[in-house]
Amino acid sequence: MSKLEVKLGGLKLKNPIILASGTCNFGQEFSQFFPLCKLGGLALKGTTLLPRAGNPPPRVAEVYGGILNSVGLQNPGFAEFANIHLPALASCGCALIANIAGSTEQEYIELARLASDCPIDAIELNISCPNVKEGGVSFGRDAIAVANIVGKVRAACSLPLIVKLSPNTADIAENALAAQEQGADIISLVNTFEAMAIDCRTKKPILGNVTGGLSGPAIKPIALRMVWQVYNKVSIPIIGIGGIASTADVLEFLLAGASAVQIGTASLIDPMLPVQIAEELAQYAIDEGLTNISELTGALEV
Amino acid sequence: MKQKKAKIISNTKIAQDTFELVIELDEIVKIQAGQFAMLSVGQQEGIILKRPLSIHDYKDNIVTFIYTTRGRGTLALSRQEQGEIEVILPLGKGFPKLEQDAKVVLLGGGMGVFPLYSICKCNPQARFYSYLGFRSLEQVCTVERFQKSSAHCVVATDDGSMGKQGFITDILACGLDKLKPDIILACGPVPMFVALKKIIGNIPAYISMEERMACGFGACLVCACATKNGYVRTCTEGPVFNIAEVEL
Repeated sequence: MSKLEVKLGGLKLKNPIILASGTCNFGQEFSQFFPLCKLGGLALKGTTLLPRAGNPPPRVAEVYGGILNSVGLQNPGFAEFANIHLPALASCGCALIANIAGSTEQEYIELARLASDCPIDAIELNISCPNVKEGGVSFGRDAIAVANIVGKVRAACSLPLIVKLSPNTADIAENALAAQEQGADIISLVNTFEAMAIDCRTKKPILGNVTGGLSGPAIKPIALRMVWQVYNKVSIPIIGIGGIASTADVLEFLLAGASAVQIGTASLIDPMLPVQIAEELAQYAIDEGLTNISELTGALEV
Repeated sequence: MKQKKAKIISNTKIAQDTFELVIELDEIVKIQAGQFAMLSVGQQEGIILKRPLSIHDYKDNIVTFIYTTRGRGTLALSRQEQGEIEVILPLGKGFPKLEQDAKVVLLGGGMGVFPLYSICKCNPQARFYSYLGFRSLEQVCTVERFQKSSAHCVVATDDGSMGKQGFITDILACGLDKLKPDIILACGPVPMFVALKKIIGNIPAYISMEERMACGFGACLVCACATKNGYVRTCTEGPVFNIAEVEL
């Protein structure tokens, strides 16, 4: 077993670096820069049962140390995902994670059932998108809502189930615990923070959707705190997400309790960064005399 | 497309709020007229995204951009006089390749004027009729380059401080019947495209759209352009579109 290989329950990754859902589309754009087999995994674009047009532009605004987006789950729908995008990734050599998003309980259940029959390695339950009016984050708002949807999806899902949590909640650790109790295999956190940007010259919001989700280095300290809190509450593995832009950032998330990480915003800016980080992590493991990188998970000295 | 480090050769002010950036790449990159690049603008001010800039001119491994300072990002870029810059290029679908002796109208408005010059460089076999609109004399630049490569070049300013007074599409409209171009290639603000669509009749026209971008290479889906087929990515399916496809 290589020093970077990690096992998150039934999900095996050759290294702990995953491209985050919503920032890597269906992987092909990144394969123009590097072979996808260099990654631990790809969390593919959030997919709904039917195609979704997404929100009106502008969909992005830059703020200090971060960006706001309001894409609104634009995606071609599950049929095109399964028939066109997944086959194109057939021999890509990294773990494939389908990110599913619904507007109703029934849609989530149907998506989980359909995705369970696909050649993928795990399903990520997106109950945390802040940019859609119906569904999305409303399923992840509190522990009762999380327990309800995770329980129903679990029954329909035969693959490792990752539950992606929203930070826009009172107590994220309670939500994580609710997900674990209902059979989630892995928790991923966090999705973006509900936020807003205004152009004072035009007196208008910058985003067409008025509000959007904040990501990037600006959210990293909050995401780290949340991973730490969740790690202290649950026993299932955690995938840390939120503003990761360097190898040091990855190490911090591992120390806080993550077993793997997802990189999003930073890979949009520097598409080669995930590969560079994976290489630096391997060197770090050698330099530090680690048998496996997972030795760092939760190794924070408090 | 490739991500690379480039050397800044020069980054100089050539008109009000307008800069010409020349960079040197470590290898020759094949560029199509109308394509763009993503450029790092300096993280020292908390600016993390690269900025999309259209290519104005290129020769071998030297690429020239002309941009206007409109926000924090372009302002930060304008202060970078030397050193290295990270670029991803060439990006997007550019203007169609032109036929031998094609009669081509180039229509540019404001900073939309500058990317059109790449069309002249890529298609020396075509005959160009350039219509260039600026707000005022202070913003006018690069006109002599278009004059050299065009059979005819008209300049207009909104306030009449240079060339003809008025909107450049109105001036084009007056001469269009007589000129009978084979194709119109345009870059500028959306209201200019709306005006253009009303006057072209059956003449084919391609326009270069602008939208806020994050990655520039198709992964994030933020630069949505509304078309007859729904939202598509300005960075990948565009930035150049047939005017008939775009919902203006």
